[in-house]
Amino acid sequence: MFPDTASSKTTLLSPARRLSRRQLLGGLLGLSAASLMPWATWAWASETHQVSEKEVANFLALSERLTGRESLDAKIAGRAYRVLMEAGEDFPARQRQLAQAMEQAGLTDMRKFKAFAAAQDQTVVDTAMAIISAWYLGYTGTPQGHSATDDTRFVTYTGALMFEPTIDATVIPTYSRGRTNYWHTPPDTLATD
Amino acid sequence: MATQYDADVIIIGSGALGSNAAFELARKGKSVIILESGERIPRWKILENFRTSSRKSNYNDPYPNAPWAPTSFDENYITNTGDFEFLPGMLRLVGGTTWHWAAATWRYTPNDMKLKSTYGVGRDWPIDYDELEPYYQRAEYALGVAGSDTDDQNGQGGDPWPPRSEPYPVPPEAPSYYYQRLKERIGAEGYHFIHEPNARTNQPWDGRPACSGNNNCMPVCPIGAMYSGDVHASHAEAAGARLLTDATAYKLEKGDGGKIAAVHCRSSNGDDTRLTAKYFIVAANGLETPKLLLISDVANSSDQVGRNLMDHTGMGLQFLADEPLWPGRGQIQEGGIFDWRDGDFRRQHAAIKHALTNKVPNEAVTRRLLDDLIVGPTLDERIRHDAARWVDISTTFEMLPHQSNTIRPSSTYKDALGIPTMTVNYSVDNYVKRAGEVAKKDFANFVRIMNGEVVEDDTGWQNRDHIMGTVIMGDTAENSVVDGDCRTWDHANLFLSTTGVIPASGVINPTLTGVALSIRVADTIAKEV
Repeated sequence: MFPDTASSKTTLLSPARRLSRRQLLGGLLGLSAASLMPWATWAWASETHQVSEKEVANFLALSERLTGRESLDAKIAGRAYRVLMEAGEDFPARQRQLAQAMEQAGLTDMRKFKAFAAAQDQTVVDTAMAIISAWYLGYTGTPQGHSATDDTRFVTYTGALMFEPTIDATVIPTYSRGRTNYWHTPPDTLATD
Repeated sequence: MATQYDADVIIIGSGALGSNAAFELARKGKSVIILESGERIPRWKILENFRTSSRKSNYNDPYPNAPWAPTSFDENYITNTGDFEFLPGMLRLVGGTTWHWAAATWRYTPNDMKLKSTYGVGRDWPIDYDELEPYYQRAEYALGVAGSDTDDQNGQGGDPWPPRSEPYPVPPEAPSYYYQRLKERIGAEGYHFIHEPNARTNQPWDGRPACSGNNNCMPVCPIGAMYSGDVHASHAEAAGARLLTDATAYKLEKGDGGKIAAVHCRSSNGDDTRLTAKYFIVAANGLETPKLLLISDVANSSDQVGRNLMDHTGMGLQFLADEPLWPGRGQIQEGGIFDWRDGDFRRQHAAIKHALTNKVPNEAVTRRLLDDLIVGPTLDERIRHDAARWVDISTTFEMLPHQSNTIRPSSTYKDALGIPTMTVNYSVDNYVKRAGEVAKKDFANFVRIMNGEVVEDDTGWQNRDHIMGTVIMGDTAENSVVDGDCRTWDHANLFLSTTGVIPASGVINPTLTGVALSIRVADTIAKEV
């Protein structure tokens, strides 16, 4: 039903032509107002230099749904989107596949993600986890402890969501809670932790 | 006409050991040149490199990795031929690898240094504890070591041990809540928790601030509370030493009378320089030092250079305790369980140290949850729950020296300067494997006592980056590379300042001993030059 907007065709077109094609598709499909994420079926840039603000905004919206957050940082979204594209040129297509699958399954409550994942292709699950991991860990890829190189890419440090749940109790390493020997007593929240 | 020299003493390597020797010699008025293969990098740049790194668990990553001065994680830096992948995290910059060492500064005990005569295994040191004690004291003051004057560091709950002539320069920091609770519960079953003496000062010391709990001792202390070798590289310069960076020593030149006449070094643009001195100290760490000696064909009449390689090869345990302990508040190491530090069991198996790791565990916690497809609000709840309960124990084992555990210049690979890289052959022996079984029983006890959920209790052998034995110290020229003064048997004016001289590894981090020996080397040379 939907045209294949994957990279191999699109990159042969001129930038102006690509833009109009994307706008065209976006305009047409955006009419399905009932969709949770209508942009799931839009054409997407296939290389990082093509990425538009609109696409980052769409990625941000998907990220917010995947992480259960209402206001993720748009700058971090831009970096995460680009490095995920660098890591796999088919990322836009995979992201579209994920968004469509979430839409079809009506997945809005991420507490139900495991059940959703069980019914999906592994690529859909992997894409979701790649996006969630980038936000939580602040990098993409798999670090190699004893190598000068690996496939990781930096997204954010202090913005990594993994620090939010504990920010009142521990530190983001290299930063300080400000006082020598503060660590002698436990966090005030201990009784409810 | 008298011979002219470029310096009284040339020191190869600006790490903690070389820089302390340089400072001691320079302040006695000796002319000193320090050769450093890497560059001087300010702390703030290393800190920013860390914060923007995508591989923060890789402790070499924030540091320069130049083709002419690669870190040990560079491809082909070490080629392994043994059954263990030996690969310590070594750095190349002014200050050396103490930029990321966590600063554990234990002393050996008298028994550690007489392992053969006490327990019939391994080797003895040719010097005893009493000989080293005043130098331990000086090293502790140089580094601003915080320690307990009341602990029995043998882990038997006895009187303070080993003997000290003076108190620690800095009192111990307060124990974290995490440490206190583990000590209360695990200690209740008879395990002895010992504070780890450390060079992360908790009160101002020698221009360094007090630790503020930034929890990033490895790979870089952001505020310089933790000691690193650049402190004494700078002190040495202030005392008159000349520090040359981008100067990789690649050959020691033999001269008349069995002496070393010169060192040849090369810069990143290929310029070679020959420098002469009355005395030479090679302080290029326990791998690069034997490599330089072997390439230069010096100091090896015993055939012991590059043999007897010992790490404190280790294991790890992670589990979730049944109560919130909140690791990650304070310094990343605090101490551990020392019941297996010394005793008659050392006839049968290696000494064992269980060290508590107190790092903010969020990355490991989160990766584990993501692997289990836990996302959304549940993920946030579980991160807090699990991070509060994460217990990480890093266990190390005493090693014995073996002829077959070797470091050699590579016959295949060279670095950008044309200098061979290294080949290592390293295996773990039954003395350690037997201790591994004992450690696993302890692991099971710790998990049981804390009513824990095991995350990982079978890590296999792990690197600990404590390089010893490779230029071994001994009592005869036939069985060792250096004598008890760290002077090479073959060359009266060549000394080695490296933990590679250590002949009996014990189970404690060896750097403080290396600094103590280096200060002693400087004293010896200062009397002669």
